[in-house]
Amino acid sequence: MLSAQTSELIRDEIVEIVSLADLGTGLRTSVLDALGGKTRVLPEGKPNLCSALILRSHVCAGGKDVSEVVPVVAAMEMLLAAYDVVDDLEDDELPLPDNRRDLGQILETVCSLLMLCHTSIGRLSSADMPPARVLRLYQVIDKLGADALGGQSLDMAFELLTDVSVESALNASSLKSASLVRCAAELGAAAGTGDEDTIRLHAHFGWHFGLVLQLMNDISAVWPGGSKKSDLRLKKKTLPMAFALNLTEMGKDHQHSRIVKRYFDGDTAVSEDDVKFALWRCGAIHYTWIVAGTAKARAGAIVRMLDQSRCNTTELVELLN
Amino acid sequence: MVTFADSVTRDKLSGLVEGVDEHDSLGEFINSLDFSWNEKEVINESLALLPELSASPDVLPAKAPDMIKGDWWI
Repeated sequence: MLSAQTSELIRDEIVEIVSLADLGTGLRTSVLDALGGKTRVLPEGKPNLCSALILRSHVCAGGKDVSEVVPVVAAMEMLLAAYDVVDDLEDDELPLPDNRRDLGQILETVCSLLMLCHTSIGRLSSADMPPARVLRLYQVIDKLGADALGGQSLDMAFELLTDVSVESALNASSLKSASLVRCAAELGAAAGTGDEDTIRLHAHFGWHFGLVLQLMNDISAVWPGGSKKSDLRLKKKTLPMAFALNLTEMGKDHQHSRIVKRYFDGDTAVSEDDVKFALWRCGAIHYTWIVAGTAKARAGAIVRMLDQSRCNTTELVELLN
Repeated sequence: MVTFADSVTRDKLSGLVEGVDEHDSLGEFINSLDFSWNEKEVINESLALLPELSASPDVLPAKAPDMIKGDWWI
């Protein structure tokens, strides 16, 4: 079902939407560059997780043909490309523009991607999808897209704070990532059925599944001996960091949490590797792992509920195994 | 939105470091927490992928194990 042929349909859809927009050479190139990547339909043909989840949720919710959600997948690819540009800038993974022309092009690229995301959804209205269902898809994208930006903003704001609670860190991670994965699952289901219970279950599945992925990502960034990522350098208050920094407040201060605190206070004698091992030894990584395991268990429970509703859950079960 | 705080409070897990000292293993500690049976099973299953807190750094895998299947496309 998730074949090279489907991938080609999505790629053609994206290219056509970008071409019809008549953006002009410079902006079109910039938009297509943002849409390309290792886990993208452009150019290799492998869509990201959210795109795959739209297709899987659509089938699970009773959608008849994956080709009917190709414009939805194209919309998701555009939404994610826009977020990636913002995320890369904020995480210092994209060179900061040093002149108004380059800054303008980045802003134009992000705005164009968001507008083209809407254009993609709009194409469904000329493809026999009931208008109420198309409107619902717009609402899902707008609500959860805004949630994700809110999470991104919190994530940035926390870089400057030292007193971020465990709950706040988890909330930021959830808003930043779980909302986008929820968006994908909800879009796929809402494009395939009008049954609110089924859509809601898919939405919750996406939320928990997205949270697992984000927490795994947070763990990976602080894994002892693992490769260097930007989280520590930027002093991100992800869940493992917040856990360690809050041990003192919880009355469980010990040498390992103090090492983490010293690093966040700017002590240059503490290296990133020191912090990673301290996070391991104080239980921060295990704590995060357990929270992720809990979210995974909940995603599994939702799949079982969908199964009882006679949904075809094979595609979702595969994701959790 | 369902949040972590809905059913698993921080208090249950904040004792992780101290609580684990009272048990032979982290898995045993998790079993002592008030999760539902299904949650406990999945958590234990995933936790089995991680070495114990007390493990020597040189026995840790080079990268974090996968809790979720990585290849979701074909």
